[in-house]
Formats: sequence, C-alpha cells, structure tokens
Amino acid sequence: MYAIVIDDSSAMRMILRRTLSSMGFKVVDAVNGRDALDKLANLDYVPDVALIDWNMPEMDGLTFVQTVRDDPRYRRLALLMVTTESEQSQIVRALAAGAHEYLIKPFTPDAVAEKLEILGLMTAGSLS
Amino acid sequence: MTIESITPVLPSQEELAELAAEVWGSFLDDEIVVGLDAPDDSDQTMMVAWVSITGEWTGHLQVLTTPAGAQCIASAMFQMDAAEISPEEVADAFGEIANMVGGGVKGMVGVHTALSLPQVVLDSRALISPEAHQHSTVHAVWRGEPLQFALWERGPKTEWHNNAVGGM
Repeated sequence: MYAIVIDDSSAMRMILRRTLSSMGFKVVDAVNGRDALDKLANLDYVPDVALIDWNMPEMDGLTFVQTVRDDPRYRRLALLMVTTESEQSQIVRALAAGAHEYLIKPFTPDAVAEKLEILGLMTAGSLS
Repeated sequence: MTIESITPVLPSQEELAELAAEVWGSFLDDEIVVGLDAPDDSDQTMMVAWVSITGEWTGHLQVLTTPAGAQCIASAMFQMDAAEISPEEVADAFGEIANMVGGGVKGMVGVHTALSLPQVVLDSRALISPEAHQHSTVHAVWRGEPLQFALWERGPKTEWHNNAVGGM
C-alpha cells in the first residue's frame, strides 16, 4: 500500500509517516497541495490514500481535493483530510469537495487506523 | 423576520487545559501538570508560538515555553535526540502545538472563523495586538519546563465568555 502525506509541518509529516509505516504503508510526503500535485505527477504509481492537511501555504488541502477529484488519473486515490478544522460546517465542506473521510487533529494512531479501515485500506487489528 | 446572531462561546480555563492535555496525550504521549499560579519566569527567555482566529470572532491562541521546553517538544514529536533537532524543526513542532490547540479553540467558538498558519518567535514580549486582552490563561509544567496557554480576544472585554469554570 502507498500513501502520500501532505502537510506543511515537518513534525506532522514525521508523525504520520511513522504511523503509516508501522501499518505497512510506503509513504511519500509533500509540503502543500501544489507540491503534492507535482509529486503525484512524477510517481509511476497512484498512491492508495492521501492524508491532507487543510491550512497550508501556496495550495491548501481543500483546493488539492477539488483538483484531484476532477482528474481521472486519481479516481482511485482515497482522500483523507487530517486537520485541526473541527467544525461540522468545515467537515461538510470538505466532504462536499470530494474528501472521502475526515480526521481531526490531534489524533491517535488508532484513529488513523480506524479511518483507513473505513476506506478499505487495512483490516482491523493490523496496527503494529 | 429577525435574524438572530450567534454568540461566540470562548473556552474556559478548564476547557483550554483539556485542549492542551489532549494534544500532549496524542502527540507527546505524556501529561502536562497544570498549575494554579504563573511561575516566576521574568528572567527566563520564552519562545512564543501562536495562531490567529479571525472572522465573526477574532483572537489569538498563544503558547509559551522556554527554548529548552520547545526543544523537548520537538524531540518528542520527531522522536529524535534533542541535540539532533534543528532550530527550524523546533519552530515547526512548537508551531504545530499552537495550531492544534488553536484549532480546538476555533472549533469551540461556534461562529464562522478562519485559522491562520502558526507563527513562532523567540521573544515572549512580542505583543500579538495592542487591542487584544487575555481571556483565559493556563499555566502548566512539562518535563520541568514552564508552559503557558493564553487565549487573547481582540477588542474590549464583553459578556459572552464561558467563565463559569474557574479555579486554575
């Protein structure tokens, strides 16, 4: 399984990379939505899931979601927002834009695993 | 037809402490010790990280600690030895702490707002806004280093705060 982590915080990228690696994912990361689009275009595969922060410079997570939703190359890329934006209105906005799931920071590794299970990317109890 | 305005509800000290504790529990796998009084840190250099919340309510969430405290935070988040952590990584990790606590505050306020990107400076005297006043402050200690979480509100004091819970 492959994942792309998109977050402007290097600490958060490290935490998510560590969490996903422990679940068996191979991880690439990007510092904002624009960087993620560039990385995706240069990969010879489409990751199974993108974990996307909302508030980032250059291109935010919502714009990234809207962009990849309209691109048939990324039809199978699951989009998981991972953000401090916790209001119901923001969750609805992200899901309406094309995000498949939503995880609020701060989170635990179990919460990440739960969301990946919902997305069909891992089975229960596979967190090592 | 009348249009009712929604009143912002700001977190109490206890709720602010809970937000901070949740971040520590999730990302630092540890607990902070919340204190009653402000430590006598007038001689200490303090780093400050903050996010601004703007919109139908405007304010700032500020986190202060010593440079050693910020280095501990970065070391725990990156799971690296403190000596291996760069100043940029310290600022990044410390800023992310302010971002998460500030995001929690934003979610509680209950009116339409936007969250800024975090900012970090090595000078606690950097005043966020001369027009802002502190709504609530939580003092804590983690690994022997002082921590302060302060919620600032822009503009004059109003009556809509959730100050029912006190005692910290």
